[in-house]
Amino acid sequence: MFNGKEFTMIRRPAIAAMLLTLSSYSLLGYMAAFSHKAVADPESDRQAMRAFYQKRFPDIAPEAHKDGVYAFDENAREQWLELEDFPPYEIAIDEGQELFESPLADGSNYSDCFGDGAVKNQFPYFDEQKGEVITLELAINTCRSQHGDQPLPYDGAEITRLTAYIAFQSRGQTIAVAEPANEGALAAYNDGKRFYASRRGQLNFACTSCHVQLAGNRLRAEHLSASLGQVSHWPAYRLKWQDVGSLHRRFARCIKQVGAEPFPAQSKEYRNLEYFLTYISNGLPLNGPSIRK
Amino acid sequence: MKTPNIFPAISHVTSRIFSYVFSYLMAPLLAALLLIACTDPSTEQSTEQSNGQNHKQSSDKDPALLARVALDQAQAQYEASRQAGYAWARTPVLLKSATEDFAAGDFSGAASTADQATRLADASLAQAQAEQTAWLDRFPKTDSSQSPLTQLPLTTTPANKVP
Repeated sequence: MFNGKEFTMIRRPAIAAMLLTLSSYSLLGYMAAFSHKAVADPESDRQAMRAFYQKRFPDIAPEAHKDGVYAFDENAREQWLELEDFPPYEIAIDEGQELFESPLADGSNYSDCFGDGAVKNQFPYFDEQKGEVITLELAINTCRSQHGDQPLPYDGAEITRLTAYIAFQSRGQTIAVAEPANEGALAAYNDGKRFYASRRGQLNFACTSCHVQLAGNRLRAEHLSASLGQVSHWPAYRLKWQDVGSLHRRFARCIKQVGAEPFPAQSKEYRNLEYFLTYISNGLPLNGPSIRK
Repeated sequence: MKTPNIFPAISHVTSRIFSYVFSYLMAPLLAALLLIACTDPSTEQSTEQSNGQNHKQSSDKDPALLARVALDQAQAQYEASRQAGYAWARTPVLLKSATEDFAAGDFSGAASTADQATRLADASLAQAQAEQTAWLDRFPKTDSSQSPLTQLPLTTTPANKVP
């Protein structure tokens, strides 16, 4: 049998190992807590993003990213500017104006809800009462419901024409989403942020894979745009679509391209994503509708 | 000349060696032996046998039933991946194909395609699990020295200057 002294000698290394393990776990715990705390600061995110792209594209002002890839690809920019001389989205704006001025079921029209239509910089925002992010499309359907009309389908042509007109009316306004301050707004913001950075689909890509890590590089023949300004120019006429389409339609296309199942337009996931992307683009001018390949 | 008493020193060294050997070698070994002893091999064997028998019985019994089970499992896993928000686009395509095979009476084809769908759904669920925390490292931080983000260099063309 061991005496007391021998027991102490046997146990000493074991106790030391145990203490070392416990202190390692504590350290990991603190690190995890610290990193989670760092997530919940939208303004730091915005500043970090701007600094990141400033470092990556030292010759390009952050505001210039409103033009997407045309901010750093001179040849593509020239072609794009030529297209803008006779923009294919013009018809959509005209049709949108017609719809905007048409009477709703109770005889009123959209100007009762949106004035002259120059309201794009007010969206999206977090509605505390409803506990969700309100986008322009949601506000259009709320307006219709308030005036006795049926809501429009979110992937339809009519709502896209209306948003094209409103975007055109709002050109030159600056994106100014209020900093998510309350718990709900912060949760929605972080949800959008998580969506943007989460790998998904069979190709296992996150939005950040292309638009943060690889921004400025080529994917086949196309340059990859920066995250800043990705929301400034919607709805856009895409040559691929041969039509004006919404930001959420573009989200769905991206999601599908990486082999994931897309969410419906105006789903909570996409609205939170739009909220996050718009917040980090604060300070950039609105320049929709636009043309994209 | 008096011989130095080396017994206390030997005793001390021996007990130190013994304590290290016990702490670092013997204790884990004993723990491993205890774990092995606690596992009843007969139980494992009987479970394997019973699973094998069940599988054999069901396949012998009714291929349609086997295909139905595979389809239900694939559907359940796909629903779970949708709930997690990580469903893959290929999974419902395979599920639809499996359902059509089943309706056409091709039960082995249906079971095989449903198994593929299950594997895809399982992989998407694993992706959802991994992304619970992995996404945190994919954003630039205010202090770039703390950022684990790899900023990949511009490899194709330098950023063109736009006037």
